[in-house]
Amino acid sequence: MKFPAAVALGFMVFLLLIAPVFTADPAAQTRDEAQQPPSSRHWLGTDEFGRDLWARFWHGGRWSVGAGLGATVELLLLAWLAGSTAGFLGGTMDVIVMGLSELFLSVPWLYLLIGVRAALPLAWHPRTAVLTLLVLLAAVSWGRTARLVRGIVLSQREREYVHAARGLGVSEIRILTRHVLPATCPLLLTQILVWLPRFVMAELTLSLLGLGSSEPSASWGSLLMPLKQTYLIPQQWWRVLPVIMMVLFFLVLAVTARSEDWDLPAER
Amino acid sequence: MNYVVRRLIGSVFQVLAVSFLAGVLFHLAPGDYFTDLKTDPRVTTETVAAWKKQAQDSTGLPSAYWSWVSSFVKGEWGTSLAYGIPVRTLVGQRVAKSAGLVIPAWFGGWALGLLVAALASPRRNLCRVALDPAAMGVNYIPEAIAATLVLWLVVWWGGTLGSYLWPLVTLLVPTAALVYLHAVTAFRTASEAMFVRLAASRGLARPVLTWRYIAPAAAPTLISLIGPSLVGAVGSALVVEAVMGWPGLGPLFVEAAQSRDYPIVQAVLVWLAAVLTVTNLLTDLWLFRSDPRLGAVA
Repeated sequence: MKFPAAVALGFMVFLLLIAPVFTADPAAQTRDEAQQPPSSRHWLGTDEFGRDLWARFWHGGRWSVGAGLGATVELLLLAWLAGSTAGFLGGTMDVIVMGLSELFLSVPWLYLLIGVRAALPLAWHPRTAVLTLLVLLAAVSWGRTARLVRGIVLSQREREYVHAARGLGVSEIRILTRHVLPATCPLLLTQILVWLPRFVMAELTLSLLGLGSSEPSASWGSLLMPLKQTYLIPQQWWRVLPVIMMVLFFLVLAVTARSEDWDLPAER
Repeated sequence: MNYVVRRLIGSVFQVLAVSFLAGVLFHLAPGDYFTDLKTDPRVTTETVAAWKKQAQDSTGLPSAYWSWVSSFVKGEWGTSLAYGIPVRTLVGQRVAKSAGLVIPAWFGGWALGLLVAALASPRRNLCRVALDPAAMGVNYIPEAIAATLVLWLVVWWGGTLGSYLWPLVTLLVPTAALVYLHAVTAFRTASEAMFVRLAASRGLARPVLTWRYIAPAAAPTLISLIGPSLVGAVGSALVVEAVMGWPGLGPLFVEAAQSRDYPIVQAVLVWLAAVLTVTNLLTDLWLFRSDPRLGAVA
């Protein structure tokens, strides 16, 4: 189950990367083809402005998943730095880093996200605001992953080969980078699959609530926003098709993220 | 007792830190409610200036923060810039509505998740083929998408919008799925313990085995899930309420964020931090009671 899911995920990511090649212009408006159900010309139908929903899904996904991936990488770098510093040095540094990590875990992240969004200038372009927001969210969400990294570093630094290296006069920096930190790599790989959906969800939720990407930019959140108008349901049932494709993306991520099936080495 | 006192003191500092950081953020934010009000053609510049002067009796960060703390301690929790009334009046009404949704959904989700896990954990094939994938799928779908899809399904089948049932179900099912996934693993691990296998070999009935032996062994794992699941439920409720039109804390918070009514935003963040910090402390105390070895370490 894991391997087909990983292949499906890889294929979806590949399609997101090459979306401009196989899709039409997501902003192109054709009044004559407005509000059309799925057809051979428009695989997911069109919206009220005649824009192709298939193109808007893939182009929107490039933005949503791309922004989420950038925030995920930032979070993992911060968590890696904080967790390895706390775990390797211990003492006061450990207390400070873990204390800071606890601070932001006490507020639901969605409330934190919207609270910070309220403080950003409204004059900013919505995409600039969302990117800034995701960067800030990653900057305060590193705590949980940092604790996991810290746990691994704590156990690795007491290994015999680390003591042996220290006894041979190897510098602390070299011990950390060469002998201890590589053990954290499998964890970081699995954490990508944990945090990526969360950041994509953040962008999606902000846009749905009117605080993120807005029209005419294509994003998954902007595809979701019109669906709050329930009168669309009988007349334009196809508007839910991009949402079903988003659900498939998240389900594929879910299956790929189940960690017990991965045969990754837990240590050197 | 020392541990409880230390945690309480730590919790107070944590909540104060959240309130201070929120205060700094909003004080430094470029613009506020009155900045946007200036663009309203119905209001004159002089009126906006007068309202702003009336609402903000201090301009420096330390005095502004102290003014907010004083208001919070007095029980007003600050004054809304948009409505001109104490934040407590606005938030209090909405908290009751949100609590009426989140608490039943959270408890119901836990009850359903535990029940299904207890019944299904001995049936490995059923779990592997049906329940585990279903629970994982439900758990991974973002609440924004779930709420929208439920809304569409309700209209498609001719249901009544605005009913309490739909936001309740939208919050309850993911909670149940999360609890099921953790509980089924915990029950299965506990049932493989030697003392459980010994009890089973003596012919104890399954319900007795589950209640007297497996559940207590699985309890520490599940108790440590209480805090994160509650935080998740409160966060999810924001989106569900906003999408489904439930008049709870979520829509008020979103509206305050959109109009930059910072006193409301700050008060909600601080109260959520306080409630969830206390919940985590109570959960940890319950965890130490269920497994004294953890309490000894703490």
